[in-house]
Amino acid sequence: MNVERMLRSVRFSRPRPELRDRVLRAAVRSWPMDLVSSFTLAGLVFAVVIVAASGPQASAGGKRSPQGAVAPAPARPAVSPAVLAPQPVERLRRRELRPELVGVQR
Amino acid sequence: MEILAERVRTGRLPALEEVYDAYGSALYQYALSMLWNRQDAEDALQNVFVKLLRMARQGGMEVRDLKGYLFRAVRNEAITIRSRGRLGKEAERSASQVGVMEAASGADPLEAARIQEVLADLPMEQREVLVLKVYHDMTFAEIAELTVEKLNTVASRYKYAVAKLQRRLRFQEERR
Repeated sequence: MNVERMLRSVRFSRPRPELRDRVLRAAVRSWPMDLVSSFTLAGLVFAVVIVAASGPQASAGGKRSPQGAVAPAPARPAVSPAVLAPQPVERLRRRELRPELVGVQR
Repeated sequence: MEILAERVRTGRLPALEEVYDAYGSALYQYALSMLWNRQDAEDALQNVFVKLLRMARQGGMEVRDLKGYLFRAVRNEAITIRSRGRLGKEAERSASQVGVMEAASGADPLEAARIQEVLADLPMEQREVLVLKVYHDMTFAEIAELTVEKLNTVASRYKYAVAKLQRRLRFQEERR
């Protein structure tokens, strides 16, 4: 009795045709990079279009003079010394660390 | 097929469709032969493709032998599904009636049902070797690599499976 020949008289069932769609959908859903990448690409194109449409003044941060030269953007105001000075909490912390205030003998 | 493996590395959907068209049916039939249940075989195949795409897109895919990789992945999925313990010998026996196998064209449907019943009764390891050899035309060396077994072990499993089949089929013939 040739077993291999007998076995070839039967075969395992083929997959349902709908399985292809189900499997591929599940794969894409689990890793929707196609969707993400197309959104990213669309976003990039949109950004480039907006920058290009607004002209060099937007990208250079300055203003175009009548002659076409781009003036430098106005300088930012200098930071006030009061802003840079230690805040009350910081001053308090420094005071607390001074040895004469915390009772440490030199 | 090396080109296809390279295309899969890009993680694009058309490449995945090509892989399904090239191997989907064989992979499903392999899963079916291990799980003996259509639903579970479908789940196994789906999980394999989900993982394949994920791996390709994460850039962790170094596949030289795509067919071998896919068969190994299906095998691992099938073992995981079996380990959940849902499928026992009895389930396999009863499931043998629900379209796991079918008669090839021109074959006797009754004979086909008889062979299916005997196949379902084989230990999974032996049935796996038999199926890979007969239905997937794999060599013992390829089966050994896939199942991570020694060549001799694989050959013995095949020998035992064939002997059991012969015994069972002869016994059934004598009873008729």
